[in-house]
Amino acid sequence: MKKRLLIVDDSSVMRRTIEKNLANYDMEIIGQAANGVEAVQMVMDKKPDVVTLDITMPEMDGIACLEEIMKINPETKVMIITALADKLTGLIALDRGARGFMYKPVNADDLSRAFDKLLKRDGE
Amino acid sequence: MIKRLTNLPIRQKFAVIIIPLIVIILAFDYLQVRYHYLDYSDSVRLNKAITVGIEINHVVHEIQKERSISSGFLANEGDNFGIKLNRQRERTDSTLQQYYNELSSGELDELLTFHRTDLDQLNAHFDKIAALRKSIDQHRISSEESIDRFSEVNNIALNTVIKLIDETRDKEVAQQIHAIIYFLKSKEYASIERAIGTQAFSHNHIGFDLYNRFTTLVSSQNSYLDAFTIIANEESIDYYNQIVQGDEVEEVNRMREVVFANDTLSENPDDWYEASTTKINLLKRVEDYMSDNIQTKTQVIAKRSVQNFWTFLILDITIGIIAFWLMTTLVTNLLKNVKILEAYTRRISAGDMSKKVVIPTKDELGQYANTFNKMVFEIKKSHFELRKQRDKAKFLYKNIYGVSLVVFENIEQGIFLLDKEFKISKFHSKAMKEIFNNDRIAGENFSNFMRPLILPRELEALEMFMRHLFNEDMDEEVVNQLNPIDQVKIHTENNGIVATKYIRVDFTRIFRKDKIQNIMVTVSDETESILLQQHLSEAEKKKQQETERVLSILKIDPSILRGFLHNSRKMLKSISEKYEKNDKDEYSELLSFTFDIIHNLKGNAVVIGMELMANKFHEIEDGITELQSKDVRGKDFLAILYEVDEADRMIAEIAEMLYKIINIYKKFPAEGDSVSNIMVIDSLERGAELIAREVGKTVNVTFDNIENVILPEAYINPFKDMMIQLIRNSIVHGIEAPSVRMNDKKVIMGEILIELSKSDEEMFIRYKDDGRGLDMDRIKHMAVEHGIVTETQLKKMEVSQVIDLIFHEGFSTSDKSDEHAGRGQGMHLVKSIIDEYKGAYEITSTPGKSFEMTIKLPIINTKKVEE
Repeated sequence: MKKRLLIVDDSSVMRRTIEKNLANYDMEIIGQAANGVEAVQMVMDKKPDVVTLDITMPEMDGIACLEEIMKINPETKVMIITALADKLTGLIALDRGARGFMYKPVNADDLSRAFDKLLKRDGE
Repeated sequence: MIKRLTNLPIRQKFAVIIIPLIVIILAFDYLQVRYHYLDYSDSVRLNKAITVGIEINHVVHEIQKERSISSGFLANEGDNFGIKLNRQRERTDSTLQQYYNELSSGELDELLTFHRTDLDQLNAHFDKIAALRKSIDQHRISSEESIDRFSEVNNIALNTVIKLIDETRDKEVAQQIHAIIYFLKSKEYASIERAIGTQAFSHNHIGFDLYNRFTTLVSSQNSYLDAFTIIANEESIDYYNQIVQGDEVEEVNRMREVVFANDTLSENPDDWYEASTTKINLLKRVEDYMSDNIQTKTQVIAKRSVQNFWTFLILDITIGIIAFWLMTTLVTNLLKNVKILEAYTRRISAGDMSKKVVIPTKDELGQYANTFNKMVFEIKKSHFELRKQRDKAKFLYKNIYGVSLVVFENIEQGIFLLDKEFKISKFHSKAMKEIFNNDRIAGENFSNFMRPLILPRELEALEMFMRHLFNEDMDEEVVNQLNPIDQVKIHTENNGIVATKYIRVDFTRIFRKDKIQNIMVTVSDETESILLQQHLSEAEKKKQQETERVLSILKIDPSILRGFLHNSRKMLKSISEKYEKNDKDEYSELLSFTFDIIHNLKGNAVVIGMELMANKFHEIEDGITELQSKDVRGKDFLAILYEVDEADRMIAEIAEMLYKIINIYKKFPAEGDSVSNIMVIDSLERGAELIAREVGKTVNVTFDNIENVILPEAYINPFKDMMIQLIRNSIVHGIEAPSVRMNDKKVIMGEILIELSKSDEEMFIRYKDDGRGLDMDRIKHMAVEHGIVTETQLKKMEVSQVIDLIFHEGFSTSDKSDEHAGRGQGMHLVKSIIDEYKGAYEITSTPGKSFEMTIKLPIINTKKVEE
């Protein structure tokens, strides 16, 4: 079964970039969210397997959003994709349950490699 | 006891077994030898005893005869027996003499010693015979009495014989001896019978007592003969029966019957005597026969005993020697082999396995030796294997561990392992000490170790990072992206000297059996490369500054420049003079004096376009402003003086450069104005390129028609000054960044066009760029900000009036000032030049497309006079 992906980023350009770069990757994009609140709502409604999550976002930042997602479904694989250079925040994200981490900008190769790693964790 | 026995050495064990055996055998041998010896000595002694006994029996025989004759002599009152008696006495004495001779022959020592008492007693009785004879001769004793006296002697003699011979261990001999004894007794009684008979026949009468005695004698005789016939051997009995018979024996029996009848004994006593004697002599013959027999027998026994003794001895010794030889050979061999095995095992236990054990026998020990050799071979094999493994391990140790240590000693990187408690491993590379200037590394907690070196936020991140590194659910690559100290600045202290270092720290998981065992950490000191990088960029900057200096000289009128340089040096000198005169420590006044001069000089520099110096003075100004806010001390002021000195040095360098350039001009005087034009174009092009590179943009400056218009000399510098300001403004503000231009579908390289044209009276300069045009909103905003106009004034202004604001002194659209733009002197300078030459200008700005300025200058021919 195809993994179902939710893309969360406040920049539409970034969301489109991720979407485009994953066009050839074996994954179904089930939605996009522009902020944390929207993202949490969509996680609740659509139960994605995988979420890409930006950290700096209006309304609810990535870390808070991550905590909510983990509360809803701890099995969700969350990949942080951020431009934020601060490593402490990235480490906190790993602490809160994120299992993938990437810096922006992203390209197709890096993305598919990162997703391979993220999903292979369960031996699927 | 048993334990002590079992613990004995084998040799002693053999001894324990063999010694009692030998003792028993020897004892047995002794008994055997003694037995044979006793047999022998018994026989020898018996033989001698029999010899003596025979002599005694001879004497007894003669005494028996003498007794009968003496009895007859006494009874007949010496008539018939007188002559016989004397002859008999001689015979008796002769046998006695023979007996004594035998005793003193010297061969009977042992016997004599043993039977001394018996023989002495016997000899004493023999000695009494002489006295007895005397009594008989004088008829002082009766016939009966003489018989008794002689019988007593004979009795003793016979007893002595019995005592002598009755000691033998041979059963058969003993029996025959007893037969002889019985026979002797019987013969003695026959002899007494003869004597009593002789007496009775001599008296022709026998008394009651004598009669009783006679009958008793006959019956006793018969009893002893009966006993004899019972125990004597057949040979003796046959001999007896064969010998004791005939007329004389019949006669004795007949005359006995006469005595038994107890009638008148009319028979001739001589007849009785003769018959009796004949019979007794026959008995004597039997006796001698038996004696000889027994003597022969004892001799045979003695001989046999000797034979037996030697046979046994030889056999015993032979067997003993053979047995002892066999025993010693076997035991020695056994002990030798045991010893070989023992020595061998000792050698093996001492580690020497070079030789095989050789035991030539095929017994258990030989088999043990073979087993031993096999065992040792196996041991040697496994020993060899072990040694090979050990050598391999040694090799590995030397080549891997050793190399690792060498690597740890020499590698320039810090390398160590972290455990799950973040503790630094015992072993770490030597470089760690040098990088961190710290000896206490091994065993320290890594976050404690880093605590004084990095920012708290970095430390917090580091601890979290290490935790994630040890978390196997986390991907190593993902975690490593977040290494908070992959490049970090640390301050180490060594003897009070604080050194800043840039280090790079990398983390790698070390797995054992699919579990994260440790984290390998490598630390590299990148200070040098980073400092080099900084140094390189500084050098680059310096190079640019130098270019700038040359450029700034080129674009400034030499006379103005010389005036500026001269004035600047004078004024800078006045600062140090003032400082030297300052003995009241009035630093704040000195500071304000300095600031005024520097500010003035900066103004001048800006006005003549000496950006480099303007920038330098600007820096000094900043320093002074900072100092003014606090309590000034002498040493603080020194820093300012140092800066002033440096500015002075820069001015001196520029002056020198100017001097060189002037020299060049003098050597190669200008042949025409076109040369000036080319130089101007060249310097503007290079200037544009420089500025563009500085701000990360690319730009192309195109000169149009410039070859047709030769700038009048008077306009060369003003033209250059104006153009450089415009170019700077275009590049810094007008022309967009490449990314922006790309997005806006513009050619990435910015385009600047400078076009010259002239009429008879006027000269036109058209300047155009393809940048974003003037940002009217920002101009308005900044003008209000800088206090050039008020909001209310602004609202009443036309567009052209707003544009004019950019020529206002001190106007700048930049938030911060830098040497390229910002202090707002650039456009003011352009306008002041136009105004100076009574020119005019016009500006057209198309937002997002272009900025264009046309300058009109009257043609003048007046040359400026150099100072």
